[in-house]
Amino acid sequence: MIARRPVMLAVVVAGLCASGCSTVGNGRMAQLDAVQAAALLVPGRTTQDEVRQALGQGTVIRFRSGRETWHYLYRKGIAPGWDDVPYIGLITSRLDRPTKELVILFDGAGVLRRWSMQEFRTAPSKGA
Amino acid sequence: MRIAPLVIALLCVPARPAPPAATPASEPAAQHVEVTAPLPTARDEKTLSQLLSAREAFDRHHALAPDATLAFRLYARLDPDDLARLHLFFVQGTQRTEVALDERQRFALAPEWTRADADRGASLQTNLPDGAVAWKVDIRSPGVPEDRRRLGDLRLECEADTFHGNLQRGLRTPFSAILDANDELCLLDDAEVWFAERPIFGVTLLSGERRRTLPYAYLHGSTGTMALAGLFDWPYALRDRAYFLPLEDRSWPDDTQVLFDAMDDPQPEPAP
Repeated sequence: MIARRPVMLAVVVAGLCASGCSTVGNGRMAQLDAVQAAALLVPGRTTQDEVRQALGQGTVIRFRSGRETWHYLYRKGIAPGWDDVPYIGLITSRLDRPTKELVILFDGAGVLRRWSMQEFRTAPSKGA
Repeated sequence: MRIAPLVIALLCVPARPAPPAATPASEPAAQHVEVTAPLPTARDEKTLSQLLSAREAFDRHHALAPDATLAFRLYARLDPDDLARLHLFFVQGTQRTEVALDERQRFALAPEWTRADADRGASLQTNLPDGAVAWKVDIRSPGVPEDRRRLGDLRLECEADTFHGNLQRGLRTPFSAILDANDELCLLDDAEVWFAERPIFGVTLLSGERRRTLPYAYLHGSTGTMALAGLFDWPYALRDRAYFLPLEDRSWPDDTQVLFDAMDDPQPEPAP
């Protein structure tokens, strides 16, 4: 029984990694294209609450100026959460996987000013 | 802690008690009083030895930017208002000479600053507290538009700074020391952080018809190992101008243009 545990664990891990995707937000990024994004994200008008309602909460970076960026990421090939697991994430985050990202810039009043969306294959970085 | 003179000039201080009103009025002689006191904190500084080492690395890797010149640039790490009160001094023993900065807070090594001066402990010292200033190597090839950078210039900045000038603050990992010993450190994406002139929303590499907009991971110390790199030199006031480059991808030629999409630029029209 004990000897089977590593095997079972390996099967579970392999299963989780073999399919699925990882995403930041509520998962709508998987289907979102540039036309939909342009309709949803209107500079000078769209608010943070509206974005949160539509896409979920992105990863926030706040700047000294009061501006914020919200970052959404959709990556194929790995089930959600694995990129965030210590040590395992160091491996999964460096796998060459199709990736779509959306970055939104808000001003200090919480109103959308800019957005950009692009798709790319993850470029693994070795890091110093 | 360094001791530097704090001079207070007091003018019109009476040399003696004011005379009685009945006596003829006579102005007391003006006096100049100097009070010297230790500064409360260490000043932000780099040794001349560090800057000369950066120049040696610049000379060694000059092929990355054959026509470029070397300068050093000071950025306000924590408070942008520091730039308005920033001064730089060449300090050797008790001698202290102000060094002129240009409109971008840059200066070049003076010909008279020698290795012998460095061996005697000469340094470049600001008037701001330790930690207030980010020191960067600044290398510019002629003919590059003001709103762009040349990739070879930036690669050379990395070579001159990282472990040579060693101007970036913070810890150095043993792994990076090993890579540096083999001159390979600047082949890693997170080896060096750069700062654009304005807050940026995107960075694009352009070489002929080839074009690549960098993923957000390269901006603002946002994710991955480049976010960890922020632990080594985290200039909070400069975060919205911070970017890394795909140094691991050597397929981009040194003449590649680095374009900046500013936060204040308007939203581009969608492609037809």
